[in-house]
Amino acid sequence: MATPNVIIDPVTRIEGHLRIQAYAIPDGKGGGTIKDPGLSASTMVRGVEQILKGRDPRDAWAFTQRICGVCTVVHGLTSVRAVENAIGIKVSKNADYIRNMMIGAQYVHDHVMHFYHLHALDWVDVVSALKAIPANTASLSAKNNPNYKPNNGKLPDAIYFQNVLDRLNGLVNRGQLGLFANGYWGHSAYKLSPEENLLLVSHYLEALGWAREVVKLHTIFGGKDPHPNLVVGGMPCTLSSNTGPVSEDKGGTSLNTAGLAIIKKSVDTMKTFVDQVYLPDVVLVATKYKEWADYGATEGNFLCFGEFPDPALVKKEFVDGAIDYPAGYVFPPGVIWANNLNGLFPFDESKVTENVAHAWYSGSDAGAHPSVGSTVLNYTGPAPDSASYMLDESKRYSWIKSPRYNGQPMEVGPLAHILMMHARNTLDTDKQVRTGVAQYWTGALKLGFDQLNSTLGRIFCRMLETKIIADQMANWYQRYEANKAGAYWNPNTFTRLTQPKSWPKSVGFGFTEAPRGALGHWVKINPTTYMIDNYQCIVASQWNAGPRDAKGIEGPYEHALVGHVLADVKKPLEVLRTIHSFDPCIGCAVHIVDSEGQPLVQVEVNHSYRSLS
Amino acid sequence: MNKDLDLPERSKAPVNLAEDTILDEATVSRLLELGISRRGFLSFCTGMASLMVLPQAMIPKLAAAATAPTKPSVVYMSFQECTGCLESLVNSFAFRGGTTIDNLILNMISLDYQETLMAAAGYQAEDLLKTVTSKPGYVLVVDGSIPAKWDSGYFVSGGRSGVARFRDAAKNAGLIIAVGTCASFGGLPKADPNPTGAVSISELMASLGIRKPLINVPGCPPIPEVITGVILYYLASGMPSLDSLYRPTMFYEKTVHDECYREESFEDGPFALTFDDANARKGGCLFKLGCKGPATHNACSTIKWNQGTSFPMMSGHGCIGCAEPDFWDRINLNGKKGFYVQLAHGGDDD
Amino acid sequence: MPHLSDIPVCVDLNDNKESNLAIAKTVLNEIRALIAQLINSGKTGAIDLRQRPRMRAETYQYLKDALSSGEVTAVVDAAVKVEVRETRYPGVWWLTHLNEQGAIVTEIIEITEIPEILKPHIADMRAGLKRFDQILADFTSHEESPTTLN
Repeated sequence: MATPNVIIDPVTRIEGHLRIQAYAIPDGKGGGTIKDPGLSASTMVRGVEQILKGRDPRDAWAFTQRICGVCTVVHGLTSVRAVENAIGIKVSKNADYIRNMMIGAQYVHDHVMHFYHLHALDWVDVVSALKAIPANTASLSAKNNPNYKPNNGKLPDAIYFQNVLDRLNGLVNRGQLGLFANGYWGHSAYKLSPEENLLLVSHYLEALGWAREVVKLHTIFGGKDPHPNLVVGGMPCTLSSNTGPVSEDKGGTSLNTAGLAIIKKSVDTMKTFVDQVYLPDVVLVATKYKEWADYGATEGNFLCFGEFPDPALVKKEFVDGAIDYPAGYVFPPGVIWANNLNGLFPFDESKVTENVAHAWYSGSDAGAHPSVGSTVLNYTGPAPDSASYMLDESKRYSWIKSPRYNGQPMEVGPLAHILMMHARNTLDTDKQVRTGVAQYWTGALKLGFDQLNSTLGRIFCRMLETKIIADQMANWYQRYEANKAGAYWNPNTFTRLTQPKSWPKSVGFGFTEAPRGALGHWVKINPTTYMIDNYQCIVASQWNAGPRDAKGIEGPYEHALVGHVLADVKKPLEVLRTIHSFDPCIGCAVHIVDSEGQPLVQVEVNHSYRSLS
Repeated sequence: MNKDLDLPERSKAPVNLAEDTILDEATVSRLLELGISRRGFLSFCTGMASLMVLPQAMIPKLAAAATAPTKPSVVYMSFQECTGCLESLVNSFAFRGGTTIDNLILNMISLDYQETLMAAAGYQAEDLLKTVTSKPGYVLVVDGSIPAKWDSGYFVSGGRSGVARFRDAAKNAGLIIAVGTCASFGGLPKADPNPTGAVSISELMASLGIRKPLINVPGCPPIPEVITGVILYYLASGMPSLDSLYRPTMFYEKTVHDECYREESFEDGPFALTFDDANARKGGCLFKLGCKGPATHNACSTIKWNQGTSFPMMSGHGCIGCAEPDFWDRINLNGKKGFYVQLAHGGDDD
Repeated sequence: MPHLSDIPVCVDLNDNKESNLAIAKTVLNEIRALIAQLINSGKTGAIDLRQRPRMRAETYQYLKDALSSGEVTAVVDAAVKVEVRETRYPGVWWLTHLNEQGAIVTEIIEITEIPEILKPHIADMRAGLKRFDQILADFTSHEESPTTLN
């Protein structure tokens, strides 16, 4: 195959360490077209699963949470759920409300930051913003974001935009562009006007301040952000006996009057910014970059584990359980096949396998279910620090394993969530999806429903799910607030936790839909020592960023690059747009090294696996 | 001792009272250019000085550093990290002056390389890194540990090993700040059995023979204002006073137990025995639920988290010790590891 | 063989009424000395309450009660808020710095004629003068002979 001429390493504005290689057939003018799937490789590994071996399962959440600080909470929560699944714990309603709010806050914070701080610079030309006329930007702001008053309206809008402009000019004049230095400014693929660029740059700056405020929800419930504290069995926080501020004399906890006010404020602030700024800005970008609905499609297979259980459906607390009824999930569990976007099929956890054929692990090429089998770290890639360093798609080339469902590569994430909700069409939130798609995508933008499977579609779906979750937050908060004096823990749970002999199962499966998609942890607890024998994670970005499998079928990132037309192969902005549309989180994708546990099912010849083509 | 009847004659020129907090005209002019209220800014600097246990006389220096027209260059490199330290930095106290100063850190420094936020990618990012590390004197901020064996393949970026990338970036640095417990002490990747042979920045520097000023800012992640406070202090006044683990004493001298509001009940109770019993709701001591506060040096109980909103013990969970070396493998009572196992004894065991 | 960890460690809380009042008395003595200094030499002083070790609720309340309040209060409202209250003792001011959420960032006892934060700065006044001139110029632009203040 041809030597790759599109190489991006490091891919920036992601989490983690990613290398992209692709071959663009040259057009003789410096540009090219990508006709074959690319290569997506993670180049850093830590080995969290091996680190977990032998440890107390009740501690695991703290380790796994540090898989990623951008998607904080989700790995911790998935771990907690896996252990609760093994131990057979039913958490209280309050715990589920709080967990929903924490994941929800994580989504909203993460998605808004992704759009502005990770993705926007692919669509927004900062240098072009320097030519904007502040008064015209003010008019644009009134039209595009009519309800939003930047800086609480302390300044007339035109002066506000003048100030932003002055600030940018200050960077340029000092020759210290900082984060904006050496970008692809002036690239022919940028399409926004100077005023549109300045408007979005100002929102980029505003969003930083907003993000700092909304995470305080995590701080009240979990003590800090990033990496708030969680606990197996419930939540560590509980209502304060003293409604006033904590003090040595009066004691108390963070869940006092002021703390609850902070939660409420965070919920309101999230919704306001999403409605007034994020939503209109996405529509603006979508309108100007409509052709991006024709690029970045994956194979058309989508997967969702299910998320945001509705505690209101629990009939009898601690008896019925709080996470066992699929119909009550805002994001339904399910599978969609081969671009048949209206066909929702049930999800079967046993069909998940991991394949290491093109990953740096020794072990069988066949797919293995995560609760089974062992793999060993084995780097066979090229030596670094050499001029000839290049990854070879026919060999092993990544620290990410390839997850497959029924042997097929699946896309996970916001696009999957929205398609599942659209297909199910039973809950109010499902109907909200249908309305949103009809109003903006097929309506105002006049794009085909099928075109949602694209770079632009992912951006749109990320925004739509953010709006839906931001709206739901008020709902969860209200019901928590009404129940806040109730139990935070099942009265029997704490005892159960301290009596491992009472634990019914030794294998637990916990799942979450993280902002980037399906996340699952499998924990195997030793029946004698009650410590972790085996721990496996299959993470959203793994599904999306994983390498080819044993059959040579490429992963979603690799597939999505086919068809891209680059104006300048040395400035692959077009490729960045699509890769960023998946919101890569590579620290998440590569947690794995080595788990030398005994297989659950003793099979002499091969590890037991359940994938058949 | 009574000298107060000895009144001096009033001189004609106005007496410069409260000299310590006067900002010079250049600084105030710059604030005006940025549209920031001088009074609000003064309050901000007072707050920062208070956090960092600085005398009031430092305030003009802080103000000058925070508004200097040419910003010092900061190069931020990430290795085996989770990006939590960067997220914390972005959360740091911002000053909303009259206009849109949304994150003071972006105004105090020129963040010239940072892979999570920067516009450039691939070749353009590598070229930029070469340029910004060619002029001596920048501050090199590092998060994440680094695999000691350069050719292990466990960390490669831009085709180069972590060791090579760090060594080259350190060459012209004026100061190295290891942010987070992974960079400071090895952190999670180094936890038993350390599958990738990860080492801390100070260990790597020692093995490579790199002698540069180093500050460790541990925490998983560190408190936002601790990160920006250290940078601001350095810009205003040079190296802060460090302890034997290279941690700034202004933030790490005390343990989180020393100033914890629940410390009252540490000796005699009430103790929370579960996360939702009556004592938990009262805010009782979490020692019996595994709190490692007495052995953990950090500022969580004083500065608290996210602009003073709360901190782990206030939200009901014991300290997990995340700013200490090897906290993931700490041995507690009865030789056991675990966040819910009581400390082996009650005091500071440094 | 006994381990280091076998040695019981007792944390001396040292928290009782006597020690709290002793700490309060120390601070009051410092304030007294600073008032004298201000009168004699015009030199100002400040005590940052946050930096005081072991400033317990009882000590803090005692100081607050002892210093009480005087005739003057002022609020600086500039995104962050500063509440300035003269105590019973002229020249002794209690400043409370609040962040945007209204939470207390720090509290300073300043011994000075007027806290610096209340005063305008010469650079601010110069800028204000320019803006004032602009208003006058707009006013008098219709008149035959515009006048300016100097």
